[in-house]
Amino acid sequence: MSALSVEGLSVVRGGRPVLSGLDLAVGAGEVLAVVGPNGAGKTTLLQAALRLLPREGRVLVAGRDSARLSRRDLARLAAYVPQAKSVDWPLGVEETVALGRLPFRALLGPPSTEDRQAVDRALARAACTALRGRRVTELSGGERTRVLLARALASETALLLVDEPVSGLDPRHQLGVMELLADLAREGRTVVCVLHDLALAARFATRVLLLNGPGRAIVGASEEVLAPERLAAVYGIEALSGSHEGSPFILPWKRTAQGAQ
Amino acid sequence: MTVAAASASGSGEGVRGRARLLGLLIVLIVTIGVLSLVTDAQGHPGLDVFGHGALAPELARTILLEVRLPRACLALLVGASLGLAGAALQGLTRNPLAEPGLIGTSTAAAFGAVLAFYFGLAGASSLGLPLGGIAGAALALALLMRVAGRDRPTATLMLAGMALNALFGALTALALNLAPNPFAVTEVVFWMMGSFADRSLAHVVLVAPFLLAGAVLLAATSRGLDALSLGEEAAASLGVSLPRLRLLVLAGCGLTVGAATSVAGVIGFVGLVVPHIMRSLVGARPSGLLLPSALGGAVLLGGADLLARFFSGTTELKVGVVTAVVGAPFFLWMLLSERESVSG
Repeated sequence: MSALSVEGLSVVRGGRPVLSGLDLAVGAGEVLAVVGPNGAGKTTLLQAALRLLPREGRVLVAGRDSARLSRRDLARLAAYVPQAKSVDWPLGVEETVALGRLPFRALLGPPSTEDRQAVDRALARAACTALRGRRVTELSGGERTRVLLARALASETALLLVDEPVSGLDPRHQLGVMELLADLAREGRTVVCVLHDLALAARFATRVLLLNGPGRAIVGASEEVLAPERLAAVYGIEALSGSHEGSPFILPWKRTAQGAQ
Repeated sequence: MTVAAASASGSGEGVRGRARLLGLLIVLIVTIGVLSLVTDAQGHPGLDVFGHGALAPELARTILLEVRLPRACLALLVGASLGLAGAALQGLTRNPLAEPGLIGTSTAAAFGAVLAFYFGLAGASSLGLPLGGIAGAALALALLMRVAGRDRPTATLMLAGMALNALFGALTALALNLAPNPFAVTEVVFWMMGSFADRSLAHVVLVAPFLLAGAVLLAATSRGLDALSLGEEAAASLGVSLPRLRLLVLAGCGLTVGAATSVAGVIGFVGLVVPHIMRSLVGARPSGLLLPSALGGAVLLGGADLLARFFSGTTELKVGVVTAVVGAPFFLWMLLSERESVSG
């Protein structure tokens, strides 16, 4: 059984088809990197999978039809970290991470021991324990990203959907976030992660999904999906590629004369 | 800020700090309630209403139960409603500048009351005004719900509220413009300034169910408002139904603020300032602000009504004027002193 299974997913936004007939199955322990040019539907895919957008087709989460699940039940199966990394109020770090427990909590009453333990585990997992007494609005971009990841981890779902977690971070923090996601997958969770950075996608993903307009999606190993001739066709770029320490690497080098096809 | 920082981390100290604040607010409410009962309309304190003065027992009892008690109840109830509605609306809009008047029901309630004046309902029954106000607020709320029922973004709902404000404000101006005699105009204008004088227990009984129903709806939004701190998409991914949350907040605010305005006139600043003050005391988590804002609103408006009495001589000083005249400079001072601590 796949952790996430998408069958014939189509999404129309503003009268324009963004995704069309997309099929996809992601298993436990995978890091699936979702890449593609701007506007290709990467964020749309995550949001449609979580029923945050009107869509056609089927999405199964842990084998259960997401259309038949209540929003809350779906939230207990899949956690989502959106692209926007802002928090509107100066909440405490622990308070923010505890929001990940909302789908499990009763309407009234204090958090249970289990809730508090899940928050502690999430804080530790995302290396945020030292930040717990601070406010999210006072944190650096890297720290805030980790806290928002911890918020998603606090839900302790098997499936984690993450939208551009490394944008705006320095290389060390980028690697830190990606290593955390890879570790989570090694522990048996499933991570679907939208990335613009092809180098990180090649380095950390077990498979890559390349979106390039409705009905044009390719999924497979990164060497195959991010092959130089394909990058030339999709992005209109020339890239250096090779391997280091057994992992493939890609370095976008220059734009091609003819541009994307 | 130690209380706020501690509660932000959810520690035991923060919980105790919050409990201490709630306890203090309740003590203040009781104190203000008692002071309100023993203070006359010109601010003179005295125990004569309890039979310790020159007043005949019958008269003392009448003054206590039919003049002072309704006034005290309404000031505290309306204050609590405005504080609660302000906190919930700030949570929904994720904006500390939101205030309950934003959604148009208070202006509409004022217009309804003006119409009641206009058609002589106010003279026919003491409940004519609040009933007119409730009708006006209900109309505005129905229009707003129609917009909200179609799953519109929060910003669109606030724009709709602004449009309702403009419309009912203009209609009120029109009614005043066409008023047959200047005396009616003066009376309406004075009524709109907001006051708790000369209200009866019938007024309390009339609006209490609306205030209570609104408060229940708003209390049900606490989880959704917390999730919304992370943005709409994250909130939805945490299991929150955004259309339902918007409907609950708007209906709750509409009921409380509409009913409050119907009985008290237009009272500004409470719904804006109280959540702001409470945020600096108990932390910014929207659900954690609801109860303190309700209690704080009761303290502020109950206190403002006492203050208004102390400064009332032959002319009654309106409580809405007091909240604005005292509230606005205080709010400015708070913003100025806050900027230093934020930038420092």
